[in-house]
Amino acid sequence: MHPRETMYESEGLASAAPAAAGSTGTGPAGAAPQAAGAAPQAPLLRPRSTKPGPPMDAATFARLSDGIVAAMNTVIDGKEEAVRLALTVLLAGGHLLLEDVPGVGKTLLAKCLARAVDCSVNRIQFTPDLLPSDITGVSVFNQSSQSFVFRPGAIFANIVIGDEINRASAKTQSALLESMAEHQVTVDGTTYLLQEPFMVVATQNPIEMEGTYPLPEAQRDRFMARISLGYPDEAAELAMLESHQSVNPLDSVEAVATAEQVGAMVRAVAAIHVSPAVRAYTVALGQATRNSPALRLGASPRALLQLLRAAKAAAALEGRGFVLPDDIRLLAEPVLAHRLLVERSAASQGATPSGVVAELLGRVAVPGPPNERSG
Amino acid sequence: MTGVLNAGGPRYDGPGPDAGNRPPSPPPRRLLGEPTKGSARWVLALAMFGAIMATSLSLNGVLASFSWWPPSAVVVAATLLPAALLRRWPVLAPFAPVGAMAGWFLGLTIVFFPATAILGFLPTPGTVEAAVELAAEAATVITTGAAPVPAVSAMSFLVAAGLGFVALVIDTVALTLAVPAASALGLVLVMLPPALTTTDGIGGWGLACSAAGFLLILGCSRWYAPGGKLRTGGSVHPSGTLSRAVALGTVVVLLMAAVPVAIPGFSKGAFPQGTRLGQGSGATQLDPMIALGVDLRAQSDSVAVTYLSSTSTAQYLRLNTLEDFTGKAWQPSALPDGLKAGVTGLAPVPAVPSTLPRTRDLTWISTIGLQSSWLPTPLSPTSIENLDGSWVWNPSTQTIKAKSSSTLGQSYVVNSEMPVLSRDLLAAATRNAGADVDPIYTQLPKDVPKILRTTAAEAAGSLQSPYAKAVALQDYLRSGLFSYSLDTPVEEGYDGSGMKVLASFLQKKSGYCVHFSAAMAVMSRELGIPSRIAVGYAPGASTDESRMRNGRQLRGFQATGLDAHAWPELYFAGVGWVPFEPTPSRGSVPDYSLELSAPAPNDGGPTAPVVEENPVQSASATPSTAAAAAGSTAGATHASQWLLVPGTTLLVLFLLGAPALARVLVRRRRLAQVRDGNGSTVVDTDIDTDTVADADAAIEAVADAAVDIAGTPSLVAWRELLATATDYGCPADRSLTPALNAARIAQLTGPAASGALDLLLHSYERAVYGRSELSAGAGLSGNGREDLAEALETLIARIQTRATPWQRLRATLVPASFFTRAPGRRGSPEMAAPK
Repeated sequence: MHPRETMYESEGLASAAPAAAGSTGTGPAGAAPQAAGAAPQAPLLRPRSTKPGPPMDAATFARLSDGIVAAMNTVIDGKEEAVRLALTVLLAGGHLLLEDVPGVGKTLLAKCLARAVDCSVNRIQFTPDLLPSDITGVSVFNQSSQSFVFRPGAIFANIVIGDEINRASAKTQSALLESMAEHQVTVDGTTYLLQEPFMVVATQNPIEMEGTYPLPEAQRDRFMARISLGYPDEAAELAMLESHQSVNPLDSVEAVATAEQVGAMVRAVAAIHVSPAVRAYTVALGQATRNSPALRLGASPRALLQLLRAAKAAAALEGRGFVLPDDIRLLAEPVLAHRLLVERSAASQGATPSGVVAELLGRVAVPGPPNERSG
Repeated sequence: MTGVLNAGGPRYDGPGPDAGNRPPSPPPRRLLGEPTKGSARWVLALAMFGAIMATSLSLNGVLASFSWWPPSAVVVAATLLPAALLRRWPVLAPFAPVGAMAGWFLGLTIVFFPATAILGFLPTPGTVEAAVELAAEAATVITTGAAPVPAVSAMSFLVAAGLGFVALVIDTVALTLAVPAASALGLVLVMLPPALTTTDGIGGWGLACSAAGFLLILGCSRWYAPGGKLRTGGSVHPSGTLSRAVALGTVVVLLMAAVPVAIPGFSKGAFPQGTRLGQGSGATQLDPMIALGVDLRAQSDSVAVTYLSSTSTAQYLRLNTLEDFTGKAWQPSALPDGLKAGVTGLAPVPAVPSTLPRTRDLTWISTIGLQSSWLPTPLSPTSIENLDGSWVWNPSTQTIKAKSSSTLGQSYVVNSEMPVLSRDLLAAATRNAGADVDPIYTQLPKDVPKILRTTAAEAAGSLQSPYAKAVALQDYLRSGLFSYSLDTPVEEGYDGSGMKVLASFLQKKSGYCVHFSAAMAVMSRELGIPSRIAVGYAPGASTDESRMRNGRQLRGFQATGLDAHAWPELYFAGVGWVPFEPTPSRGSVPDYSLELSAPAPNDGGPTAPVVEENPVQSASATPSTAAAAAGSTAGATHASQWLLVPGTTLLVLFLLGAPALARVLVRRRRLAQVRDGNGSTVVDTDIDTDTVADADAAIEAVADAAVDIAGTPSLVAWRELLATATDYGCPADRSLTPALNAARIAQLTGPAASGALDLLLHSYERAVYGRSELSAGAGLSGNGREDLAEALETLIARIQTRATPWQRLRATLVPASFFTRAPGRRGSPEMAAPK
């Protein structure tokens, strides 16, 4: 996520949207002084060590992204799509929600992504008695210096794995979600910025719902994408049994990119071109979800913004300098489906959010060149 | 902590940027769907009504008056109304054509058969019978009459039914099928009758009305029903669409007005003047002379007139006369004012001196197959009995014209009175007759070719008396120098009337009665003898019928289409109008005009049964052997059909081929644009070629050109690829991305052409979705893309070779992309989103 958002603590997304949209050229350069300007009122736990450099060139980008994908694929067999999507979310500066039954490799995917990128990783196992301070950190009194010292919580890492996020209480969930959106933590009136890149990979088990606190819609909206890993196919499962029986494959994963390189990749993604036609297509899709009779709740403006960002990342991974409607199509289901609420009557007839998104994709026209005649 | 958490980030369900635009709640479901609000369907119905009724004005020349217009307007309105009503409910909208058809039936019933219907509008079996009867009557009028036919009730019914059907077709095609461009077919249906049957064709105004109407439909459909879905909400006003349509329309109308100057249209060439669909007989064509020739060439042996006559031989029956020799086509002179209706006590002007001995004849005429507004009678009738309708006697020309009826199916008795003509009598008439008659019988236009004067002077020689001169002229024309031929004038291009035709005739010395009679009439005037041309029937063949009436024995005769004839009548002072027969092998030469040197044929004519004087020959009845021509129909060329059939075939082929031609032209232009960039010269020349095709293609071309000025080679190439795929049954899906559409097209082209396909796809994607500076750089006007053009040609060739022959034929003759707009062009996203 973009560092500039730290300046808009209470204005939130409405102003973050133009900031992100206009950041293509000037954002990275202009953001650093602003972040620095925030420092006097809130001492940074870890000030940004490096100034954001220029966006990465295409060749390096391709080499690094291919390396990350290849490293992850050696660990997770037969899940190229999920791996690619996870990387897409990382490069788009979003957060990932992995929702699936236990034992299909949700945590492994998250860990593997963290390992492939040389950056700090924290893991939080969410339980009902987990407290917000366990996540954000706590100020303790230092007897020797006669002052309060902030001890950072588990959230202070580049990649945070939140396991079984729906098992924690709503209060604890909120603490996590606030830091996800703002890339910052506020304890005792003091704001601490989080590290960049910052990504939360939360997992959720949809089967065992007893004693859980399911994420409300408003909070699910903060995850850029949701992935269901699903079971591997026969060949992948055989390969997995072969490779995982004796050694932990994670051990063999070498870091491919540094945190700084990932930051440059994120900036390169931000510079990807989005044509008016693609923007129009994104908006048309959003309007369609809001007008669809099968849906109780359509896609929010934030959802569309994140869809566009994810599409830019996907385009960059393809080595393309501009977004195609195909990118939007590809990401519409993972980005939009978990935010939509199906009308009860439609649900009783078997409608699912994914099904509705697929139906809308088959209906909404893809805009052509802007100078074509139109009625 | 809680406060801090609340401060972070916007609440999702808070007022977002688009909260105000969200519809409050889905509207309640209704049985028939949500009613379509707004004026769209009424505006569209009004546009179609206006277009059809405006186009119908071109029927002006086909029907004699405008009495058909109000009932037709009612029927068309009744057809469009139910369709517009049904479109209020989306569920019922597909049944709009059924409603239109019901409205059509009801409208026809209300206007034409209220007596047979329940409550005046519900049709009964009696209504159907009445309709069939009326249609049969209309068929008779069409087959026997020539344009303009009288606007009798039957014709009004036919026209109203036809226009109602056209309304049904246009409504269905433009709205239900969402192909407004094809509504031109309906308007062309309306324009066909005037184009095929009248001399003037549709005319500039008719064409302008039709084109304006068509553009009205097109523009309104485009704005009010884009993609066949009615626009909802009444407050929207057409933006630039209508003004663009108007501008386009003006260009097209101007171009089309210029086209007839450049190429032969309906009025010349393939369709000779006065051609009509029926092969009956008649004399009300615009050029009577031409019509006569057409009749003769038709070699129709259908009986036009039968008559019983008190004379022993068949008679010349006159319909009308031509006396005004000025102008391009000779016309009967207009009826003088102040004529009284009625056909009793008829007398010619100038009157025949009562001192002359005369013969009285009785003729009982039945006009079976003759539709004319002129009544066939022998020369100088005195009274007519049993005649239906209102007729006017013109004493100057001695013709009888209908005021409000026709000759169809009449049976009447004519009493006629002719002075007994003899050579001596005529030879004595030496006084200059010019002062006795209306000047119109002596006037000649200024442009009389010299050859007429010299020929007349040569033929007359040193003869003095008018009678001798007239006989000399007749002898000259009947001499061996001249030959009778129906076809030579047509082949040599001097058919019809007019001075130039006569000059050609005197040079070629071959023609038929029209030429002989006109030549004699004109040359007589050159020699100072008043003259006119009588048009009617030469003496026909006798039938076995005979009957007694008023104590006189009547013998039966009949005249067929082959007997149509023209002959000169000359005026002699103190005698009156005297018919002559200059046409060789036709009619019969009157005794009084036989060569002066020859002895009078005493045995030439049998004595008339009842005459007051000693044996004389009735002027209008001399024995005839030439009438035997009636039988010689076999082996004759049907000249008018010969022209009509290939003409119609060509027209039909042209109409069928127009889409294919337009498609080929569009493809060639697009390829040229891809290859050379879109220089404006390319576009201009192609508009010109396209307008030749037809109005529809022209609109398409102009519209295309307007778009393509902004189109880069990549876009044009992609559009052409989509259009070709559409032709071959794989229309692009609007909801699919270019890449997915390309994947579908790949199934048409096969794997071998994937490289070319990728090239086109990627260049299109880069142009549309890439950075604007990049795409602009790649597609600057004037920068051609040879590689794209080659890839496009490869792909088109691949698609064509892999298609089945049937698909190829369909794609060539009925290119689907020509009838539906390319899907890429419809796409503005808000339209695609569900309402």
